[in-house]
Amino acid sequence: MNALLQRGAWRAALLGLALMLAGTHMALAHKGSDAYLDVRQTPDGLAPSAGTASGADRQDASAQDFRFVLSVALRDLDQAVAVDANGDARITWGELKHATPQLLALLDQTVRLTASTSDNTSGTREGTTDGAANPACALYWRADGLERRSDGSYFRAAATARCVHAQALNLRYTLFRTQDANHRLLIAGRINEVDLLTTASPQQTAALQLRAPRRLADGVTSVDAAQAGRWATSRDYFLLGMHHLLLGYDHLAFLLALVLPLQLQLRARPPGDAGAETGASATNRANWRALLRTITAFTLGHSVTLILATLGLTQVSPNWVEPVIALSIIATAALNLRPISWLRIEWMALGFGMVHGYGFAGLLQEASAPDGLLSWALVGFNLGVEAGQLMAVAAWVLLAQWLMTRRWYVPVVVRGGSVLLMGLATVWLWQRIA
Amino acid sequence: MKILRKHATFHWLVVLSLAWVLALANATAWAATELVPRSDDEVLETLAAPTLRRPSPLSTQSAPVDLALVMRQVHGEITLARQTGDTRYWGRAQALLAPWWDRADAPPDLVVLQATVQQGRHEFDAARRLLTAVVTRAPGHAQAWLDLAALSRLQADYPASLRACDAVARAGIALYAQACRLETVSLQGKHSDATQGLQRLVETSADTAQRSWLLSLLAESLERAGRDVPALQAYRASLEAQHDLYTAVAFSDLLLRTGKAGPALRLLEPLPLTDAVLLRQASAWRKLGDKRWSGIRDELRSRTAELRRRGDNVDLHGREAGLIALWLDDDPQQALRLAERNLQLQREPVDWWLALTSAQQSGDVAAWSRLQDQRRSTGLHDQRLDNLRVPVRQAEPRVAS
Repeated sequence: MNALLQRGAWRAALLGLALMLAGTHMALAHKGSDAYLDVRQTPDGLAPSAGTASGADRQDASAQDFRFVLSVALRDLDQAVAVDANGDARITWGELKHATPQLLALLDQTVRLTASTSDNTSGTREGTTDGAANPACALYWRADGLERRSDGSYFRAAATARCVHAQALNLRYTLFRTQDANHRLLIAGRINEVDLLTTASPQQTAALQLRAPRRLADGVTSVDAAQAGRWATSRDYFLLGMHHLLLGYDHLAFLLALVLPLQLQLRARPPGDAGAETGASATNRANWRALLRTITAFTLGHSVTLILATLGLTQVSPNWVEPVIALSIIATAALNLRPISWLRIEWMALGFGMVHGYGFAGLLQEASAPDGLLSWALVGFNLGVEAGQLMAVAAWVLLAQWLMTRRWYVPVVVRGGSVLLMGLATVWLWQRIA
Repeated sequence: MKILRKHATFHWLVVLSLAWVLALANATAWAATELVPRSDDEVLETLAAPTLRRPSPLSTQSAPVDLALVMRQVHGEITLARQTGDTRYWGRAQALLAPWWDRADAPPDLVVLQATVQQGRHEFDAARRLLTAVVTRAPGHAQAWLDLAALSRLQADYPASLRACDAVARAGIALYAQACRLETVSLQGKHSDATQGLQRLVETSADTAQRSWLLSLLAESLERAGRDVPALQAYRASLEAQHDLYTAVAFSDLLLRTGKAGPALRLLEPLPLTDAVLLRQASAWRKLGDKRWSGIRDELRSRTAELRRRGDNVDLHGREAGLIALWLDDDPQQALRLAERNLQLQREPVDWWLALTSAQQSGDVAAWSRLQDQRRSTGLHDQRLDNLRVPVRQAEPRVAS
C-alpha cells in the first residue's frame, strides 16, 4: 500500500474513489437543487376597475402589476454568499439576517426581469429597456420570510414589478451558474389568465419569456373597452412620464441648471420694511414669471419633438440626442456662471427642450405605445412629464427657501452647483460619446 | 322530495368536505411550510460540509488552474452526493468540472471524474463512452478500468467485467483487482469462491473504511448465496466499521425480505430521506399496518412530478418507479412494464427481482419465461431469484352458470 501511495498524487484520490464504487449505481434522492418562483398578476394597482371591460381587454389596455416570490435553498445560497459566516456548517438565524443584504444584492443581479417590445429574447433592444428606462418593470428583491421544504430550509424573497402591457416579459436567471451545473428554477403562476408552469436553467443563454408581447389589435373590441383602454393608457403613461422625469437624472440636472439662478421667495418681506418692499417683491415676482416662462418653454419644446418623433414624422438617432442632452446641461450651467445678455433663457429652454423631447420619445417607443391608443399614451406621458417637472421644481423651491437666506447662496449654491453640474454633464457627455 | 333534496345537499357537503381534506393533504405534500425562527442562535439549516470555495461569478478562466485542487474538490462533492443522497452535489461537481466537461483533450483523471458524476446520475452509456475513451488513451488507468468493471457488472456483462478487473490487476493495484474479480464471480454463481475470497480480503485489511467496504461486498455475496444469517452479520459489521448510506439501504432490503420490518424501520430512521430510503420506510410501515405509509407514497409521487418539471429524464429512475408500483401502488402490471424498460438501463439482481416478481404477481407466464431466458443468458445466479416460484396462470374469468 505504501508503495502504491508513493506512485503519484492521483492514486490517493483513486483509492478514495474505489471505495465509492459500491454505491455508484444506487438511486438516491433524485431531486437536485431547485429554486421556486411564483409569478402572480396582482389585481389592484393600475388595472382599471371599469366593470364593462372584460379581463382580457383590461390587460391589453393597461400596465400590469406582478408579484414575484422566489424561494432559494439556504444550502445553495451558502455556495455564493458566505451565509455560514463562522464556517461551522450550521446556518443560524443571526447569520442569515447578517447576510440578507448580500443575498438580496445577489438576487438583484441574477434574477432579473427585462421587458422588450420584440419576441427576440436575446436581442440588444431589451437591454435598453432594462431597469433604467422603466425602473418600475424591474425586480428589486426584499426578504419575505423563511420556509421549510422537503429538502431543507429556504430563503424567500419577494419583488413587485409594474410593466407596460404591450411588452414581452423576459426573465434572466443566472443564479448559481458557476456553482451548480444542474440547478433549476421551477416557475409557476398565472399571467393573463393563463397558467404558467415552466423551468429555467442558469446555463441558458437566452432569457425565458414569461409573457409574449401583445398587439393592441386583438385587445380592444368594444367601445367600452376602448374607453377603459384610453383612460388606463393615459394613466399608465402619465405615471411612466412622471417616473421617467423624476428618475431620469439628466432631465433633472437640466431643470436644476435652469432654476438655480432664480431666487424664488414664497413669503413676502416682513411688513414695515416698506421702502425696500416694492423693489424686492418686484424682483421676486419677476423671478417667478421667469420660472414660469422657462418651464413653459421647456415643456413646449419637448412636447413638440416628442409628438413628432412618436408619430413617426421625424426620426432622430439617439447617438446624437443623448450627447446633446448632456451638452445642454453644460451650456445652461455655464450661462449661470457667465450670462450672455442677448441670450434669453426661455429660448434656450425651448431649444434644448426639443432635444430632451427626442430623449423622451426614445423611451416612449421602447415602452411600445399601442398603435390605436398612441394619442392617449402621448397625452398621458406628456402630462406625466409635466407633473414630474412641477414636483421637481416645487421640491427645489422649498429647499431653496432655506438656502436663499444664506450669504453663501450665490457663490456656493448657484456658482458651485453650476460647476458641479458642468462636471457631471461632462462625464455623461464623455460616456455617451465614447 | 324535500327530504330527498336535503339528503342530496348533505351528500354533497360530505363529498365536498372530503375533497377539501384530500386537496389539503395533497397540498401539504407539495407545499412549503412557514418557518419562523425564535432566536438568533436558532439553527435553520445544517450543511453537509462547510463551504470552502465560493467562486466569484466574475472569475476568469485565465487564472492558473491547480488540477490537484480541482480533483480534491470534485472528489469532495462526489463524497457528499453519496453520503447524503442529495443530487445537488452532482451538479456542483459538474460545475467544478465545467472547463473540461465533454472535452476530448481533458486530462484522463478529470474525464474519469466526469464519468463518475454521470454514472451517479444514471447516465451509464455516457459514462461508459468516457471511460472507454480514457482506457484507449491511457491503458494503465486503474480507476477507469475499475469503473468500467462496475458498469459492466451493472449491465450484467460479466465477461467484460472480468477483463476490466484483469486490467486493474495489470495496473498494479492487487486488492482492488481481487475485490473486482470476486464480486463478479459471485454474480456468476461461484458463491463459495467469492465469499471465501472476500472473507480473506476482509481479514487482511487494516484500514477501517476499506474493511467496511469489503464487508459490504461480502454481505451482498452471502445474500446471493442464500445465506441470510451470515449476510446479516456481515452487513452489521460493515456498518459498525463505517456507516454508509448504500450499505444501510441494502441491509434494510435484507431485513424487509426476511420479514423484519421493525428492525428495518429502526435502521432507516436516521438516514437522509432519499427516494430509496422513503420507499423502504413506506414498505416497512405498510407491513406493520402503519397508516403513514400512504403519506410517503404521496411524497414520492410529488417528487417524481418535480423531477419531470425540472426536465430530468424520469426513465433513469425506472427501478424506484417499478418498486413504487409493486410495493405501494399494488399495480404489478405497471411494475412489470417499468421493470422491463429498466432492464435496458441496469441489470443488477434487484432489477431482475423486480421484473420477475412483477411478472409473478400479475400472473404473466409469458413475461416470466422471457425474463428468465434473458437472465440465464447473462449467467447471473442469485438464490433470491431462484427462490421465486413460477407464476400461476391467472384463472380465466368464469361465467356464472
